[in-house]
Amino acid sequence: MRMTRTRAHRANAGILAIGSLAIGMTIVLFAAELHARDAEPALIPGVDEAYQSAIARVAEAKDRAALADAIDRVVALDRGDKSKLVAQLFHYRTMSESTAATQAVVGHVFKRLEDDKPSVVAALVPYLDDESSQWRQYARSLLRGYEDGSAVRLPDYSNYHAILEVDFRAGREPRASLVKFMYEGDPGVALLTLMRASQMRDPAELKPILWAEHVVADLLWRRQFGFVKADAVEQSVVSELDKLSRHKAWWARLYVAEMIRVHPELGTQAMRERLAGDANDVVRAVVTKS
Amino acid sequence: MDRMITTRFRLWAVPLLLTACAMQANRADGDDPVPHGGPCDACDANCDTLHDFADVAPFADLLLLGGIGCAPCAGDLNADTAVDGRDIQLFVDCITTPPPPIEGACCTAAPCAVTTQAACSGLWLGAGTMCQAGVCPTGNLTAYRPQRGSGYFPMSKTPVGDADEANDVTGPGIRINAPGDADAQGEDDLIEVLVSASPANLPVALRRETAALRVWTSRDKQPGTELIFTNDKTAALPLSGGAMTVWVEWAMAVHGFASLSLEPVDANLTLDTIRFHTFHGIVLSLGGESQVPSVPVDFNHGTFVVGIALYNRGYDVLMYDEDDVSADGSGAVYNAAVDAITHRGVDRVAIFGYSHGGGSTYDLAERLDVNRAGIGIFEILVTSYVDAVENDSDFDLDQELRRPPSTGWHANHYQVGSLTDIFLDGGPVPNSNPAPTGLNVETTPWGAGSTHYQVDDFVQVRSYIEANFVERISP
Repeated sequence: MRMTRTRAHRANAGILAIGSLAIGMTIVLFAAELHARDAEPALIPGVDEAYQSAIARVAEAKDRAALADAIDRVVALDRGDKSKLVAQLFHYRTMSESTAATQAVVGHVFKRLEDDKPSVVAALVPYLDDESSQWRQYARSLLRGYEDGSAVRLPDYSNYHAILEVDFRAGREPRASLVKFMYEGDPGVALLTLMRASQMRDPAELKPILWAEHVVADLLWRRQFGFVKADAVEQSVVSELDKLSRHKAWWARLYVAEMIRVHPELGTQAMRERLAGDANDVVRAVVTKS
Repeated sequence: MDRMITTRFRLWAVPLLLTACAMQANRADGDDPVPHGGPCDACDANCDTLHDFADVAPFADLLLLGGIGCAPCAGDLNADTAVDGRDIQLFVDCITTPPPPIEGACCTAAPCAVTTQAACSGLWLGAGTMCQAGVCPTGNLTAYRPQRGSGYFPMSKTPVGDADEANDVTGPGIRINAPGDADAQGEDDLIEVLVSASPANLPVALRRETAALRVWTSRDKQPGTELIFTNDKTAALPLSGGAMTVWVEWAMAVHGFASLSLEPVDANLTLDTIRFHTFHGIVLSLGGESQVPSVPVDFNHGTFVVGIALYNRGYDVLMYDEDDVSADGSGAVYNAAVDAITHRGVDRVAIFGYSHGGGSTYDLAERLDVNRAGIGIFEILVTSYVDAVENDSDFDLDQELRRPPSTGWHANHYQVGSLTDIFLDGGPVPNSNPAPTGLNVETTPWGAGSTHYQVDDFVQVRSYIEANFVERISP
């Protein structure tokens, strides 16, 4: 049972930051603050009995009206602090004995929060770095759900855009776990989202990224629909990836690393060697594991 | 002078003997040369092991010219050490009287019968052998249902029953294993066959109907382990204790049927036959949240119970955790389906799932449908939901109410959520079966009061899915 999750060595700056931003922040700023705790990591709330009691009453609702009412009472506790609510829901899910029923209880509350998706996403993102693999998995699964991607829809990364943008504007690196998570979902959408969030303004900077993504996406599209063989390689694609693998931004180089992890035939030995020696840990890790 | 007399005498003696033999032969109704054996055969005057008219001239020479024949006893039928007139009648009798036939037990597909070697179309056990219980050799080929990965998990190793082993539908199915097949989990497309024969020292061989069948002594086609067929028959199999395991591959890119038989090396006797059919179809079974395939199966996981039932009936069934299908339909299940279609000639797909597995059924069908142009020609013939819930995340509670895209036939069973299952449920799906939107099991006597956790386990639900899949998709 996880009663407290205080990380003393991380506490000071994070607590001060949270405290200074707790009241009157916009959703975007709230997300930014959550992210700031990545660099100076978070104090994860311990178990709050008031929340746990309210959540438990959701499981006791005798009809749908009572269910809705019980969920409303849980949500009302957060007073806009979705991070605390998310933490309490994760605590409840982890501590419960009955997997299926508690999964449903937690699911009902998250469903009720769908109208507040940006703030819920912002509250979930820090858990991508959680020390508990179970909590990381909860966060990953919920975030994928909010992306709402399907075979006919690209994932919606707009909620990540807001989070990333705050870091870029503040001159911080974006949260690595989020960037990696985005690339694992859809490298093309991730690259373009990061490009826009990064505050690039000069078309001369934007166009090479746009073009590289377009050239690669075009080949993948033609592969997907049988216009070329499923393992077709075109020099223009390799060339664009090679150029992007030298990009100054690590998140752009990560696109190449992820792409040649999934499609090794699009990479060259020189590309791999370059990325294997990349200054960024995430880039290096993706390449060396592929 | 003596020589002239002898020559003249021979001129008439040989025809005379031939005539005598022929006349007596007609009376005896014997028309085949009589093979003979023994240490010294006086009647076999030319030592060719036969008693026939070819012995007449040498006998006449011994009779008229004396000397030593091809064997010490040649022509001396009365064994008095001389070839003379007293041997003539015995010689004629020998040549013209067929010996009693040499008979023995003859094993064929029909019941054992005692007959001559020449008349035996199967395995002749030798002179003097009799048809007794157990005298004929036996052999058996036992094929197993298809492998997965390095073994059979999450299925159990399942033999094809004798009643089904030659059936073109319920018999042993085999995946086309032409070059290019991805085999993401390693080579697993060969079918295991147990060969056994009795007596254990009986030399037996395999006979195949077509070169599409290749047989290996290793499950993953290790070099040097292929059994060589000459005129579609192997040499004697290296049985150990009367048994061995072989692995059968369908090594051509085209579909078909082919038999594999076991027979003695030196006889035309089929001891057993199994008949393979290539898989045209693939069945994909997706459990609910927290349900993962297991051996033995958890009988509270109705989707997997149905999957195993279909596997036992001859289908190529792949059972998965529903999380192997992501919200955009991609993942291990999609890859397996595409590999089957593009590399193994599969053109019929069935998908079914429970709870989040129902949502994943939709996601998978949608992706397969969207990407048809890049995959190839196939039909999603049948699909089924049981209390389907969308699976955008592990915590998704939305009812899956969308019919899987492009499915030919869809079944839908659901219940209405309650306190017990924290209001978790599926719901009506347009154009589903039972028509028009599927069955709310709580409207039936057997399903009244059902919860989300029970609905997949009703035998009525499982049987409905199984029966309708069998009716609408062949293996």
